[in-house]
Amino acid sequence: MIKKCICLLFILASSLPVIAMSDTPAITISQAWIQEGPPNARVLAGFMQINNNSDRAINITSASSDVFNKIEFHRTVEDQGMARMQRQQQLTVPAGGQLKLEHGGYHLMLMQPSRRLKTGDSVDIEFTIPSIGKVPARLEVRQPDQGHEHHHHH
Amino acid sequence: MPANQQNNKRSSWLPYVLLAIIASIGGAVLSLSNQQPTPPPELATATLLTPGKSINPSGLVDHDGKAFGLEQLQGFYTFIFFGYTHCPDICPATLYQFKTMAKTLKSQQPELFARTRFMLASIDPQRDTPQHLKDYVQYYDPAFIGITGSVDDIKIFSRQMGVIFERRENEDETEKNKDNNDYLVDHSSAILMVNPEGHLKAVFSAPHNATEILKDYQSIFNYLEHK
Repeated sequence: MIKKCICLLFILASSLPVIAMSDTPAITISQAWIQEGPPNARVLAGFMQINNNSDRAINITSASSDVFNKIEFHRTVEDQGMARMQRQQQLTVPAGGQLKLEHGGYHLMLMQPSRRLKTGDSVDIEFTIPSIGKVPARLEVRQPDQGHEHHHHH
Repeated sequence: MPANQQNNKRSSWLPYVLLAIIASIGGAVLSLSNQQPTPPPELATATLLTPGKSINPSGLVDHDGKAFGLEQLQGFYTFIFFGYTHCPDICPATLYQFKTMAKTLKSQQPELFARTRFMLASIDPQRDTPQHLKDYVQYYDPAFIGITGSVDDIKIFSRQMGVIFERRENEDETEKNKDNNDYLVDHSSAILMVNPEGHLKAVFSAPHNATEILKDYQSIFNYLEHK
């Protein structure tokens, strides 16, 4: 019985990403930005690099922010000259790997901003990650050619 | 005797004169035919259409509500992208490339900029009113032009341009979607170029990069203007 319990605990513990083991959080978000849009833009896109420092795949199931009515996960797919937008139920960051949100690929679809966002502003959003909890991210509003946007490097 | 000599002289010139005339005609013909087959330019991202394709937009309006037809396309090289203002990724990215192209042309080749236009043709007339389009495209550059119209007229025009699009409802079945205003439009990602005669002349395929497009544009322009 005790053995069984210990075993169960072990399974439970190992099913959680290792976050308490070191100072490195399971997930790190970098180069998070929003392309500044026209004053009447009802939809904007958010980009970033998400690194998974744990040894398990991490699923991000939703995102929210005070500044947007709704945030969805989308992926642009080029298919025979057509740009198709595919809604994603969740974003999956592979174990020990990274997921890049970038133009022409995965991105956050930021809907109905409550205010005009201009270069230099920043926006806080919160990801829901079932295995971890809430994870905050700060996105910087800017033009594509400022800072470091990468399509082809790394 | 002297008369005979003169006669002889004349007849000995004749072949040379004839030869000279033939040679100069031949030379002229040769140089003409030499000019004809200027090889089409090597292009990185564009496909040149030879001959260009006739188009005839009808029933459309520009962002000031003025009728927009073939006449409005003539006299300029026009880059056209079919998109919509509720498009989060591809359209802002493409308009940003247009903006970069316009900026580069303005500073480096103002004469060429004066002959160039940039347009966003809306594939989402339900949400893209002329005024909304105007505010949207002119954020990128005050010279940019938005065009819209009924879905049917836009569809006819897009088909002439080799562009297809289809509206797709967002799968999210929440209350917020009940207003039927939350949908996406899948669309061709190519940039089209219409020449000053009003013919579809080049197609630029995605992904779009301002520097590459400008380079090809310059080659196409030189080719079409100087051949």
